[in-house]
Amino acid sequence: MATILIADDAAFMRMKSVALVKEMGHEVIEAADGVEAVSMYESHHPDAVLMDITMPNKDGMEALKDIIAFDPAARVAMVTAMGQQQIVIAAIKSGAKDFVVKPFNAERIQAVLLKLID
Amino acid sequence: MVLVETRSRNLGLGEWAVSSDPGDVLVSLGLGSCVAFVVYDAVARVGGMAHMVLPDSSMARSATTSPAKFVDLAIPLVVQEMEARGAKTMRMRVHLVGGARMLQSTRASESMNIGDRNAEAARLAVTAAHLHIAGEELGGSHGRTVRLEIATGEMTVSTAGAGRTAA
Amino acid sequence: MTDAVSDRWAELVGLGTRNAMSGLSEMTGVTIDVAELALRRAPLSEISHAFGGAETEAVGIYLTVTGSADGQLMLMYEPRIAYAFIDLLMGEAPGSTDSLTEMGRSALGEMGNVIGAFFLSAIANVTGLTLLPSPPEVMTDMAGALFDVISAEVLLDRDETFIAETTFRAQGHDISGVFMVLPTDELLQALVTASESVSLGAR
Repeated sequence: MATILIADDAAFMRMKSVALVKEMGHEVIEAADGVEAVSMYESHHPDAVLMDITMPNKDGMEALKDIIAFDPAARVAMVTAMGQQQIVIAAIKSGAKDFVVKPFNAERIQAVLLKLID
Repeated sequence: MVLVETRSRNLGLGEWAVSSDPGDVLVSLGLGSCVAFVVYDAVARVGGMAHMVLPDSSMARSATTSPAKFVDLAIPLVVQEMEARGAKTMRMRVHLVGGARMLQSTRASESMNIGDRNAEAARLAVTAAHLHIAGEELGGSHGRTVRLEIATGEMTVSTAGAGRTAA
Repeated sequence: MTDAVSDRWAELVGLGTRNAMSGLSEMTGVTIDVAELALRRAPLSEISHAFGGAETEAVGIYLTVTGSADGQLMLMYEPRIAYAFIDLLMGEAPGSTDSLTEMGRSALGEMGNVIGAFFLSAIANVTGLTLLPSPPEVMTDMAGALFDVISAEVLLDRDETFIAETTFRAQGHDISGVFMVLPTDELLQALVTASESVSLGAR
């Protein structure tokens, strides 16, 4: 069992992702924006992070950079509807380990988590 | 009591009208951040309305053919036309309606809060025109429709999914 | 706007819209098609007529676009259609939702996210521009009041607006809505310039 941080500003998406990841037998912690995501990462050291990009206060790309600065080995996957090539490239350059384009399906999330926490 | 068949004159964004036709009802539908300037002279039986979108014409990034979309230009236009139809500023009863804050998020709180800015600009323009504000229904977070009956000067304001209030 | 510019704009909007509808279909599990795509130039006084009258009650999902240039996106539904979408997204039986709860609002917001992101991604990938959607804002009010959000921004520039309006429908479901795209002048110009250089390069 691993601890997974799910960062998404949409309560609806958190509800869906949390249910999915819990079903896979993991512990879940949640953040509703980028600022919360960074502080949750620092205080809980989760094994992996599923990070939305479009969020208020601090977006997912900024939060990713902060988390990698804090822990260069952090395992973060971006989970976003934004499949723009430029954004995917920027995320990978900033240290994201994977990129999931929403709307996601259960299998894809499962595969990403396996890859991240293995 | 004389029954008059009424006719609604819907004012779109940036439109204005002045009327002394007792059959007319001036209407601004679905005001959000827009503000309606509503004015009536009960002696001359002349009424006017402007459906204003932006507070200040100095904000314009290009020339406009619709000056009445700006609060600072629309109010003097309507007042001038009211006077041309025999109304007197000292008798004009003014209501301001609209200026809601439609966006709730923090990103919308500053520059995009056009509703508050429209309301403030309208108060200033009314004072500058030496008029007195008889009533306001400004602000909040919901849209409004305002109607002014020229025959009686009666003004009604309604909101989405709610009733009407008479002024 | 010259014919060449408007052709290019129409092409890009068509591309983005088809991608947005495939995102929406994927999200809801229901096939949703473009019923009509209208590109028009509307005088400001008529903007609110786009949705069956300014007093018609509507649910609006609003996003702004930033990045290479700015613009605005708005999805509008009749309330009963918005509720039907919430049922679909939450996996509830049809007719379960009859008001806008916080979770329902969030589900609609996420729908705005997906449609906005899919629309912008398709265009960004063709033009090489970066186009970022803001977090969505879900509003319910008279259509006219919802349009004020868009109009105030547009009318600073001019007295009329370019508006791309997509009506979409779901196969076998009583679902339809309007998706509106309002570019700034800068965005129109950037899109057209970028896509011209791309297609020239491809020749």
